[in-house]
Amino acid sequence: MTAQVLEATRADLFRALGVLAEPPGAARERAVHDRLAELVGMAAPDRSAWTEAFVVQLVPHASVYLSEDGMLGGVAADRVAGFWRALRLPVPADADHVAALLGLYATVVEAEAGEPAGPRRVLLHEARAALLHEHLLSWLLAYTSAMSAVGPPAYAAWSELLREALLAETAAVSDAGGSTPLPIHLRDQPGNADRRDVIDELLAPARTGFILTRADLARAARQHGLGVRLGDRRLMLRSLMEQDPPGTLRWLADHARSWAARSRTDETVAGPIAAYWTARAAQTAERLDSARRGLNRSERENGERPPGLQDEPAVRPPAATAATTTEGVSDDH
Amino acid sequence: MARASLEEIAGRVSAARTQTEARGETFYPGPSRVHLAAFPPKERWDDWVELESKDWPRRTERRYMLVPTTCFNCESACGLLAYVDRETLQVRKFEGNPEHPGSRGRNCAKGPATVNQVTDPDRILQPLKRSGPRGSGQWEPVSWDEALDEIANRIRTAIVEERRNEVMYHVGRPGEDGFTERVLASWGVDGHNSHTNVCSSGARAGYHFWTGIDRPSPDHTNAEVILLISSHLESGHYFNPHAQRIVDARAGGAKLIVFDTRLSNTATHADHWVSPHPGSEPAILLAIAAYLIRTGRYDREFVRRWWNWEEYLEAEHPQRPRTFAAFETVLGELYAGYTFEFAAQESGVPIRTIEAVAEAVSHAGSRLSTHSWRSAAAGNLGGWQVSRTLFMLNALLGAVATPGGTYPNAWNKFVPRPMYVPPHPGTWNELTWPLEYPLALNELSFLLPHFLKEGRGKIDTYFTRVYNPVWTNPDGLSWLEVLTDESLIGLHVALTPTWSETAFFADYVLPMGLGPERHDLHSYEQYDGQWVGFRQPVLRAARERAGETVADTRQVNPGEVWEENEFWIELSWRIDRDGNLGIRQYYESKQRPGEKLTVDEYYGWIFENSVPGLPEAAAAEGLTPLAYMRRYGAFEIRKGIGPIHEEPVPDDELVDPAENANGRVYTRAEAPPASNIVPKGAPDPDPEGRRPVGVRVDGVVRRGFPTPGGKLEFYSRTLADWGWQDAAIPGYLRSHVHPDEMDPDQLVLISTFRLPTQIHTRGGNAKWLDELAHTNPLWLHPTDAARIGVATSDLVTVETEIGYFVVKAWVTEGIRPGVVACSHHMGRWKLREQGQRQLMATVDLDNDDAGKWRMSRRSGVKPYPSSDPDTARIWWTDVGVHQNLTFPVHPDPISGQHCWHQAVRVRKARPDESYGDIAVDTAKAHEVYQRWLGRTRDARKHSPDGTRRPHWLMRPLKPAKAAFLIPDGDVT
Repeated sequence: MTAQVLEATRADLFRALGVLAEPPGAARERAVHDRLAELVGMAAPDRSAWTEAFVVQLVPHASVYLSEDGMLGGVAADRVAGFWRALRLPVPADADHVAALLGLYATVVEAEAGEPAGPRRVLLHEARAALLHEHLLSWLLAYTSAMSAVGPPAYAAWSELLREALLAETAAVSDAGGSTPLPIHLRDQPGNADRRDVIDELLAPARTGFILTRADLARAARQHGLGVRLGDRRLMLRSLMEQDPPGTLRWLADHARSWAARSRTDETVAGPIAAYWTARAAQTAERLDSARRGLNRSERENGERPPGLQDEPAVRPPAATAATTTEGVSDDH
Repeated sequence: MARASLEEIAGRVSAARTQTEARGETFYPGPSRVHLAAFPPKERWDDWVELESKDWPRRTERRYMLVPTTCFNCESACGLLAYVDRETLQVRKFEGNPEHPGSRGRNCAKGPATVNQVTDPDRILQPLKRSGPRGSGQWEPVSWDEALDEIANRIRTAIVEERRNEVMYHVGRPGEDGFTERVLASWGVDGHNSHTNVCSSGARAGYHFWTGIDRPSPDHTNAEVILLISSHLESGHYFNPHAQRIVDARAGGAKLIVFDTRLSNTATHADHWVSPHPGSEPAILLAIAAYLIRTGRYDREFVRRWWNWEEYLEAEHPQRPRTFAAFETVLGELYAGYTFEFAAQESGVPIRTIEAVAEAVSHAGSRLSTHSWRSAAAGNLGGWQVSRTLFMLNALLGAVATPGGTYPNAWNKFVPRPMYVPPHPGTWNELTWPLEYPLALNELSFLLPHFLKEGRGKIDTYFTRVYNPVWTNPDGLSWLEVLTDESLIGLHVALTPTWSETAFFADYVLPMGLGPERHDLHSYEQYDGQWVGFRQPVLRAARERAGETVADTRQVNPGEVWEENEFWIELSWRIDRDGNLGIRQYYESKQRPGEKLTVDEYYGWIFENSVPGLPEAAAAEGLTPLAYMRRYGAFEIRKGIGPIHEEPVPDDELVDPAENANGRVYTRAEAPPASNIVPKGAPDPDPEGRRPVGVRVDGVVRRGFPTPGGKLEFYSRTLADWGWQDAAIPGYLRSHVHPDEMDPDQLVLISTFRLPTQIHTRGGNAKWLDELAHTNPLWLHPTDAARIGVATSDLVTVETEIGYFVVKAWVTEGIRPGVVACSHHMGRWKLREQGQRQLMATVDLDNDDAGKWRMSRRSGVKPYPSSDPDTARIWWTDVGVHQNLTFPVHPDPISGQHCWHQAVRVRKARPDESYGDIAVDTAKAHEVYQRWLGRTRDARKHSPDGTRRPHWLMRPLKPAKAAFLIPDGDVT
């Protein structure tokens, strides 16, 4: 197999994985997904599985995982859009959607493979490496890890294959790992000292080093015998914190440690990016432990609810209580 | 079981893709699947299922055959997909064709509205012959045979009696690449008459004098700066294909500069909106050019290598050394007077705006895409200098045929050679190409009534085809006067799908198919690539796909509606049944000698022999080239054409070469056979008969441009030699509506814009479009409105040189003070109930036999019962006002373009004046014509070589060279 054919083959795999991240559609469109799923060796997905994977559990947009507030759009999405523009490509409506990014990556790989040796090929290679490093690896290792854990079987298989392909690609594209500086999304992340709502922070993966899915929160509730409130993750998490603050903080710290451990395994290939996720998760675990210890101490000594969780390193209490943080968490809600 | 390795999985996907695409099928579903719906994959076009919207909430499946064709509602030629119901074999709707390289599956409102036109209850469904006086509205149905025989006999007689110039074909929207021109050539008549001089010939002239090619092809997608003269984003010539690429470029950070006196929708999208006094555009463009020159921000190497500066110095500054340094000095001197202050004074645009635009342009480098088509170039005396000065910016920056620059259109267009190319006709028709206008790029079509009235000739058989001069042209009532005079026009045949103001005054009205009911082949410059598009009768293609054989498009079209290809073949056959006139040979089948050519054979031959790559692409799908085009509707031949002028001429083309003092290289080698016969300039051979093959640049013979000298003609020796030395370089000619030319109480009327969803006569029978746009109020600045004493919706009377019209005012700050604007494409009318009832007012039209005409409105439109339930839901009554009737002709003495802008007086309407009232004095109109004729420089006096016209210039249906000679005795 020539290098060019090999590259084209890789491109096809990424494009196929991108297409598989799109909704299977109505009966006729589903045939395309079924065919691709068969080719990559995963079960044929259906719309309910897709919804569970990409709507309920893990929204497939980079900005959710890379922005400082864990929200769709914003600076992170602008950065991704800027990359499309830099390649002189029209920016699609969902430029940071995993399907769009994998399709873009396949296009760049094909373009590089089709270009004869020369400056333009070098530029395309650099673009490929930059795209991989800045806008794929920066979040997809974490994302696929989460999907493997909580996604429906078809998409768990999809994410494992994608993860394997990304790691293989990283090893092949030398610039993507090693001593390359952190992707700008991660480089510019604020520290945890910022006085934000703790819930917001816990739902911003690039800041905490872990992803919290609905399935994770439901599992936490089950493990601690707590009730699960129906709603978005923010409401679910707040409800758990209200019902059992020490238990929830412990569970979250354990969750963070498990993420630190799983990210650490990627460090040999994905170097500084994996190390970033590891370090962030470890720091968050420490802060959560510290907060829990402070909570326990305060309750023990004063019979009161947690003292100021704002002390570094710490996470702060929910937004609704922000005004009373110096006096401790209010229980009037 | 262990999972396959990554490489194995990737290999499987790749192999499946290769196999699928080798079958011509779609492997991945579409360009964007996240939010945008995918287009129906092409392998499902035979049996596409959609839910019936009218059955909601029941889920009823409808099965469709998707058949491509091309929209005919403007010249963009966007791809359409007809959804043909497999049960009823009726077209249910039209959507975009994703396989079309120009429009890429996207359409404007006019594309889907084609279905309205197909089902229009007022459309003409059978051939009609006048049964009363011309214009009386009395018609009787006739057979095609009867009509064809009478028309054929008249034409045959005219040819036999050597009255070839009495046969004329007058076309509005061509929508095809040369088929009908070749029909006329086969008859040996110089009878082609286009609408172009009321449209784009001004802009064409400016481009042609620079490049030898008469259209630009801006590569908007890759531009850093896009400079548009007029509202191309909403209604420009190739507006949908261009607009989507401008939008793409803007998403990538490109800056958009729009020159438009009105705050058009396009202007609202601009980074820089420039609202000049009409006609001052070249002053601003030259100020920008002067800025580039003054600050040294132009591409010196490009100018040195590709401008004909040596020819210029030789002709105009023989005392100076013929060095580039000397030219740069002269260049600086020539344009030093075009300061920002001067431009601001002429245009009324603030200096800071002009400076900002100049600065933006100066940073574009070779990624400056520019476009001018109608607008200012069609509005002003000397308007052709708008495009000439605009292209000068490209020429200064080297943004010519570069990514993001502007190409000559011929490089981005492909006109396949057909099986027969008849020779150039041996006659010259002075009714269309008069000696007063030797440099006109196109026929002086809009002067025809005046020429006929002056006794310059008469017409035996006159075809109007998708053309409505009574309504579209200026001075329409002069048209009406000659159309009703049977001594001037013997037989008027209107080839039209729908009623028009002109068709009412025909002898035969012959129904021709709409876009999805006819064959045409076309290719347009919409990006840096070449493609061909195939318009086809979709029901014919659908039936053939279902296994039927269709030999005549009338079998599938509604009623007795035909199509033109088959009509012209049949008519030509009947003109020369025995072949004695030498006409029939061009209509004989190659496969069946002696028998009549079919359209399948005609297009089949082209697709098999003249479209590179198409046979291979078709074979890969197991199709014939014709079947491929019937299936997909378009084919991209090449993209990324690049700078053809830089291509070295191969040594084997340089046989016994000769070279003139300016590096123009000639050869005795025959031109290599070309399958692309795109029109372009045809520079003359050298005195020994060698053909021009290239131009030497820095020692290398390169292809160059199709100009006499082979380079970009900053200096046009053609203009200088033919009496216009004062206009031989890009310059600023003051318009006829320059403030110095107008009285203090006059305003400039801009009438050259249109509402985006209407398109001349053709949009008028599409109800959806009529509902969107059906009136044309007069844009009036608040200061002018206050002076006149009117508010929005008040009636105002607009007085022109030859009459007036009464219209409603729309007071808006979106127009400059001192300028008013009124959209054309409005004000349709009919004299009786016959006609389009959804966009034609019913009017009374009277005259006093001395050329004084009055039109008054009897009624607007109203709901009516018909086969289309929608016509009962017509909620509007207004249809606008037909302002063009009140405009005299203003032919530019160089380009021949009608200069549309009018100097008018606007006053509050008197109580006895009503909306839609029009008064015209055609005697005065003739006086204005004569006054403008006085501006010309006649070939009989100024021709340098005794010919009527420079032979190298492009010309539709160019006659044989001998016909160019001015007859003895005519030269003064």
